[in-house]
Amino acid sequence: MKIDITLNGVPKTITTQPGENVRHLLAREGIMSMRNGCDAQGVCGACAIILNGKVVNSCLLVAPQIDGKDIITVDSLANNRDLSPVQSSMVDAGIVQCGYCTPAMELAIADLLKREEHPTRGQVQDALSGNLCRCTGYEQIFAAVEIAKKRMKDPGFRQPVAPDFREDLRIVGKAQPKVDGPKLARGEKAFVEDMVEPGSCYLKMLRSPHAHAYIKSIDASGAEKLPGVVAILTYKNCPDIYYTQAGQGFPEPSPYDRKLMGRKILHVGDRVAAVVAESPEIAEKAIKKIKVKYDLLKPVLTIDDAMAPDAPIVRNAEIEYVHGAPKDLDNSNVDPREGKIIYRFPIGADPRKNLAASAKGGIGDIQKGFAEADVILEREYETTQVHCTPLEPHIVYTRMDGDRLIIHASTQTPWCVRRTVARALRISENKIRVIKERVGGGFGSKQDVLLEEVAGYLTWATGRSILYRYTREEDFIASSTRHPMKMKVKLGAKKNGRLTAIFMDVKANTGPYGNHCLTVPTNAVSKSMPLFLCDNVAFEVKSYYTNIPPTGAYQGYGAPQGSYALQTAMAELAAELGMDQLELIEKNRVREGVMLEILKCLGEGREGKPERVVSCGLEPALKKGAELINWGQKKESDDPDVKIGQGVVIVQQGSGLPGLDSASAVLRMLGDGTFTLLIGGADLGTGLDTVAVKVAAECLCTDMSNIAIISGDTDATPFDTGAYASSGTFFSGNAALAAAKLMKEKILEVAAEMLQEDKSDLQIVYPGIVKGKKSSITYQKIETFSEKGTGGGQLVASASFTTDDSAFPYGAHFCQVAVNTHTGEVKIQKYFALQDCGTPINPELALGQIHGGVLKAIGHSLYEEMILDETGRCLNASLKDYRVPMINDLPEDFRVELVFTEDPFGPFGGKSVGEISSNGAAPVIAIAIHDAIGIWIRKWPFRPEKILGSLGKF
Amino acid sequence: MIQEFFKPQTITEAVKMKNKYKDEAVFMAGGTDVNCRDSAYEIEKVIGIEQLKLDKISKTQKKLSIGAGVTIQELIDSPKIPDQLTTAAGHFVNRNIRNMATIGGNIASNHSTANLVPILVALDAELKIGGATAPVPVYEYVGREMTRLIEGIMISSNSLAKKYGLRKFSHAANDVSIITAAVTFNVQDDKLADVRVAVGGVDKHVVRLTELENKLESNTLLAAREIGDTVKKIVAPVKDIRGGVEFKKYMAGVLISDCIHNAHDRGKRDQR
Repeated sequence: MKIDITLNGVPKTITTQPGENVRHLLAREGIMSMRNGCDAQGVCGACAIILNGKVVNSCLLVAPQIDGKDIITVDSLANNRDLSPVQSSMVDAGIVQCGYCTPAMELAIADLLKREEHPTRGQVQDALSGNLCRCTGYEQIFAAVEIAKKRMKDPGFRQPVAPDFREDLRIVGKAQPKVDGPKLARGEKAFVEDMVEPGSCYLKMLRSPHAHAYIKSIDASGAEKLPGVVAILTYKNCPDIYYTQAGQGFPEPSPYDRKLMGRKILHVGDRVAAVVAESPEIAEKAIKKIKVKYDLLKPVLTIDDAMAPDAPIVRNAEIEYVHGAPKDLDNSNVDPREGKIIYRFPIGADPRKNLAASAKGGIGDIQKGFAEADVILEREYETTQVHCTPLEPHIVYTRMDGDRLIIHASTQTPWCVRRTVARALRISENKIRVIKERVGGGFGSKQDVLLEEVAGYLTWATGRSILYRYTREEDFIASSTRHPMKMKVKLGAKKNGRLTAIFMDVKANTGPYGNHCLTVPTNAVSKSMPLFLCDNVAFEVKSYYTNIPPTGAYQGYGAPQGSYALQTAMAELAAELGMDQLELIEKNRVREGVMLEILKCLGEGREGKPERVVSCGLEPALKKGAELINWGQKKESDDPDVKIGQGVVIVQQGSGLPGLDSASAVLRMLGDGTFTLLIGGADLGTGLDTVAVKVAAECLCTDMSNIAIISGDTDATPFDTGAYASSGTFFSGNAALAAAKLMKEKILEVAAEMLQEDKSDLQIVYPGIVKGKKSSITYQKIETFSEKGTGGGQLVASASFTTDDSAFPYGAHFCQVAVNTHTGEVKIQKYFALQDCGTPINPELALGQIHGGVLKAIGHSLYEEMILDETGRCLNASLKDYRVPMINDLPEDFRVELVFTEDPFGPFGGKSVGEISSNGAAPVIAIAIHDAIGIWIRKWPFRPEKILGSLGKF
Repeated sequence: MIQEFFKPQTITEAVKMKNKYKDEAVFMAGGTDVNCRDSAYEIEKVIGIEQLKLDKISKTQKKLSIGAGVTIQELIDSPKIPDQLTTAAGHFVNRNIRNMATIGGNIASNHSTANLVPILVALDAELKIGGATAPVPVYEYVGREMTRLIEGIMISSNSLAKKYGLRKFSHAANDVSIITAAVTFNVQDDKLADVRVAVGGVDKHVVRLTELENKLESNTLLAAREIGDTVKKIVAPVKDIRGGVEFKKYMAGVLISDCIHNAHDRGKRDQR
């Protein structure tokens, strides 16, 4: 059939089918700015268009519905390349992070401002009520609308969007447009899905309906005969290579415990057969023709199930160690269908007992500490499995270029992808190029190599270009989630509140594969215990293999769970002691200058070392937070059913992994005195590229616009461990700074020669001028001189950054809730996050990251959880049934304050900001709920059903 | 996958098509339900009704008439629509969906927690059915799982003059409701009359709690607890991902008793 539409002002006649989805149809017309986050469930709104003047979801329309209609997409908002007021306001307000939802938000705001000249906060919320954003926490949207409104009348209008820091610096610490902001705001091609060439194949995965089974037989012959089927991969024809999907530095602490396709089925959604075909429809049809018979085994779903003496063994595989094999290693009773588990080094595992990893340690004398205590408190806390839900599902596009495999990836770890794919394919790393495209949200789930190896293998094997995009359901059941944990906390304290002993026992459910099985639960300890000073501290960590959907990294990486347990236990101790909670924190909290001895036992699978706290903003954060919330002076509700409560917690994280992480950067000067900056760091939308450009521009006394950046391309840019563990600013930012400092030296050397002055008499000043005692010279002249046949060649500075120094970010979160004892609802009236990230390099983006981190954590505290039935099937594997916060779920008063501290180690004093903000919500809300209704909720999420049950309502 | 999309130009033509294809075809207005990925309609034939222009809202002294194709957002924007319905329309916390979904579609899709259905049932709303002369009550339409073409919705002015209350309960603002509830009644000599209680989320469709209606009818207002206890006894929800049986029974009781008491005390709209 043919339809007539007007698309962005241009009449078009389009040949289509009656059932063609309008988002697909417009993509065929080259309009890629409508994104797909929810697989056409109408939940995320990322696919929005304006249809006959109304904002609607294009995913929920079929072609005949738009016949004769007028369609506006974001592509028409900009005037040529000049951003519209709405678009530039989004960039300036810092609301553009990953950019996957940005075009849809812009349409909603443009529509709002057409309808309302002066929209209220409620009207803004209503206009954006259908737009899901996972990065930003929505709060800065209100500022963006305000700026846009004024800019529509006065194109030059500007207003402060974040406080400035560091008066001594020109660029760092000041709000500056994100370097990739305009591109994302215009809805340009930027993501993996935009790179797909015509004629590419599609990969679809047959996934197991069972949680625990052996494949008894598999017959793909019927599928292989289907015209258009290119290849089918099963355990029968896949290479016998083991690897870990964990995107960690080498050698990884996570075990090599999987192959491309295994014979043992370990979770509902585990891989059974990968089908490559010339269309998604053919691939799906082929999947239906594959005949599989299973030998079913009893699924192991919980930590208690896994620990039971008669528990089925989840991984009864042959065990190998690369280093440090135990003398009593026994492989006599393994089942050959299980394959192997290979450890790079010991991680305290005993898979025969479902133990995936374990660690224990401590300082002082824990028994003596408890013996000295006047009060001993012992509590247990539990957390459920929650999902990162990046708006862009996992996706990869693989293709061949001659004899090299090109991987267009949405990843946090391009170099891990290259290393892992090389191992899985048994090829050398120089045969692979990984190009990290713009990433539509990561949050840890894109740290791991979850689909790149299988698509890469099949492209390498067939020579065909392959797009492999997870469905939203696959994203839930076959990616990374937050480990469920059970945590016992035992505290000893004197009557005056001084802690004498802290013990934490952490048990984690690591699921079917061992990605992060040691390090996530260890982080529950290492990012919570050091917040309190105590001479006698001990911990024990164990993680268990089970048959739940896979776990892995998620923003906070174990710290949200550990923080929930320890901070809530501290509040329970305060209640036991009859002491104000804030007073107890003040009495025991970490302070600048102290040595964190406990860290010598917490080394990510290696020996740790004690670290000194060089900067800590907790004192001003707690003081300011208490003032903001009127600590201890909560207002009573007019409704007798509604009880008000307050709480406070302190949080911390690290800035990357000193001693493990490494980052590199290269700066090249160009003929006109501008630069290209190449960094290995992977910007996930968090603003890492902007950090790198800012620190380099600051150092080189030039404008940001004079530095073009290329990042995360394994051919074009130098090595970087990856964007995880809050490493971006600290490691990749420091690498960019190191390269800039080196470039500065090179510039001065050439200038000294040209000006015939002593190098020590020269200084670099803005805007890119070398000033001597007698004269000065521009960068352009320096580079022109260098590039001549008589010069020394192009100025290129290459630097790497590694360190043993730590820069811990700290924060204090205050919350006030209203608990309705009649309905069990918890409303967050106030949430104040006061965050010390040293020098906030991008203050406006830091605000958004913190808002986003807090809101994600509010979601898992109040209602999010993956719900499994008794067979291990996830019952809510969609964004419709697994709800995450949207703009109408915001706390009534939601504020972030950046607390400046001087830290010597980060670039211009920058510390991390990415993960820490997700550590506070669960404990602070639990504490505030107790303050309101006198009940401790020791298992997240705090759904009304749980609250009402605790209140004995049914 | 839709293979054929018909665009009849008249009601008669649309009804004829449906009679011809029966369950092989569905009517589609905004498409938010039929085109949704997890749609219950695995259908190849669709009869589009947008071009029938069922988008008028009219009000007389006797009744309010709303075309089936009026979108949820148009309900909110129209000055002719009373608070009972704009409040229920506001329970669609997603403007993009409100711009697409229609009042007729919300009835026809017949979800247990459909946002508009409880208040329409409580208002004794009737449907003008394509090709039929006699109106069909909304309650009958959803209860009998009808699939006939809805042309419009009619609500008598007397019903709209009744006291009313409506509530919905969900975990997150945009989440599917766990329980929806609406009540209407008159008060005569301090006693309740013409009581209607409709609740969603406790059965396959929105249901009326006639046992409770009878208990309330011709009596002075019962205590909230007694209403709640009665509701708990008569509803039979099932456990799902959003809540257990006892929780849903309790919440149904809370919402309905709140609706009744708020309506009785204030007679004003009550919104979550």
